[in-house]
Amino acid sequence: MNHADRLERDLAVWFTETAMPSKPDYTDEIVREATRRRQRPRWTFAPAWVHGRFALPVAARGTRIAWAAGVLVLVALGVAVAAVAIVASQPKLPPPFGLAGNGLLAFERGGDIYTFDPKTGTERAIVTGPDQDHDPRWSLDGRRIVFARESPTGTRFGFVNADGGGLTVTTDALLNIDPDAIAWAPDSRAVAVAGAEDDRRAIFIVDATNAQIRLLPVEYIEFEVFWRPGVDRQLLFAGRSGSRASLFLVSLADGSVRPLPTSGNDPNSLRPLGWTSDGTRFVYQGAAGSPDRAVSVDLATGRETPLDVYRAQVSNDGRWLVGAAWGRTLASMCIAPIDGGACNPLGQNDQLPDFGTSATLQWAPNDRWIATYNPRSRVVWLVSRDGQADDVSIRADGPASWQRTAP
Amino acid sequence: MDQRELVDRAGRGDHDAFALLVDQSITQLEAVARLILRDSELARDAVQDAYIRAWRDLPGLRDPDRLGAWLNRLTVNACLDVHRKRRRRPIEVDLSPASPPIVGDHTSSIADRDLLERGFRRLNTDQRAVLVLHYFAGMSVPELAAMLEIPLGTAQSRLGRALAGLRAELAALDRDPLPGGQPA
Repeated sequence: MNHADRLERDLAVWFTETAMPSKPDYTDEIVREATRRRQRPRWTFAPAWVHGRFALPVAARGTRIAWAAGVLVLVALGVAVAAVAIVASQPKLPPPFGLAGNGLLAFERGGDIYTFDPKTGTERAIVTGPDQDHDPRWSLDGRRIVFARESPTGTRFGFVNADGGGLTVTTDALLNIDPDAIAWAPDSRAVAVAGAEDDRRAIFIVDATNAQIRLLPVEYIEFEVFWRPGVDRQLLFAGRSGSRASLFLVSLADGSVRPLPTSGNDPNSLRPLGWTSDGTRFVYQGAAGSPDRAVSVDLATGRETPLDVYRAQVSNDGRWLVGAAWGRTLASMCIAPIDGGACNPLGQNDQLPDFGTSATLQWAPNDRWIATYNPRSRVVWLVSRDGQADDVSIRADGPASWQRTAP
Repeated sequence: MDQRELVDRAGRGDHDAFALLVDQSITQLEAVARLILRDSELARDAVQDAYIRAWRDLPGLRDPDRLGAWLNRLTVNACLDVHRKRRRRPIEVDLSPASPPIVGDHTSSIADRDLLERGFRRLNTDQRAVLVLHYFAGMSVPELAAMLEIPLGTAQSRLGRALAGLRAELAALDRDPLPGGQPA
């Protein structure tokens, strides 16, 4: 018997020994959990769809009539007056970064997308139907929501207005998307999404204006991606250049990619956590010597400041982080100053988010609340930062996204 | 009621039929997930994810005879997802190894099993899945190819690479002493 034969035999025996097949005691729970969801209708599994194309009819040209010019001038004047009136009546948009007003929360339940108004406690279904939709994220101007839609070929992306109108869905689909890595661009015209391409992790840009998807040509490792505030379309990600792992900034304007100053270069630890709202400092995890601890980095000097928190999110004013207390066996939610200092506990055990993800922790646009999602209880908790208001709970099947409104 | 009828009923929203399908398959799927992930809690998450997806997409399963392969594929995909998320939760997950029973062992010593455990853990999840499906679940190479929706030759080479990878890891461990100074 040669060595390979023996290894195969030993492997089969070892599998059998260690598998110890037995019916698990959570079978009924699994059936309950699965069947409370909606099944996809059979017709949605059609093997192929024929996408029809159509063209708008070209208006026939009429004969020029002299008096029509006068009419056109009047019409143009009327349109101009109406446009001014409409612009004046438009709600003011929030800035893409920094403090803003609190709007609605968007979340998924049972494959549908809902909004929740924390002021009135009212819910509204925004996207319903047989499709399995999930992970809604508000655009930074608070006007649109992007969400993921499962399809037989992968995950597509839908865009919808705040009132549920104007739905468009991408034709192309991505495989193995990372819901934590869905990030609206500062101009709210595109979304960066992590997925898979040829068995490698990759970043894609989904154009919100025409629902087209393109691959970003960078060597991405994994984890969240963050747009840099204050500059035109620069994206922070954990990646590689040759054999070296680092955090990088890629410019979508000119395609340039540059490494950022970090002490850590372990591809298994590097994880960006966000920016301050002025774009002068970023926070990451995976620094040399303390890979699970967040550090903030001054972009100009490269100086790193260790923080007593991990899996953290930077506040909108750029002064605080909310995350898990560092160095404790049982993770607890806490808030730490970005310049260093103690991380002060926040919230109760039943509100603890899944610290494995970042989307489950989100600052309210005004920084006075924290939205968390606990995957075990399937509840979104809105926790008052100063403890002065009662917590709010929302039943959901995933984390919520908070709409920014004009301050 | 045969499996075809169960699949048809479950695909039409029959909870009892789905419960029977789960009952018939969960022991095998849980073992597969536990072997791939080497962690009972993670395996539970993966199995739950697989069955949630199965319930949702059952109306689209055209060939009820392929239910087993389909469930295996859903479980392997769920294992890949869970493994990726595990990297995100280093302190919350119980990383203690699945404890091997000390019974009926006529083929390998405890040291050999420990070596296999350590070498297997060094493989990536794709490689682990292929080995578990072939050497534990008993799937032939053509069945692997059909389940993974890849050409036969690709399945063959993927299995070969996984085995070669394990052999290389075992050789490396053989050269390096254990942390406690005991040879592996």
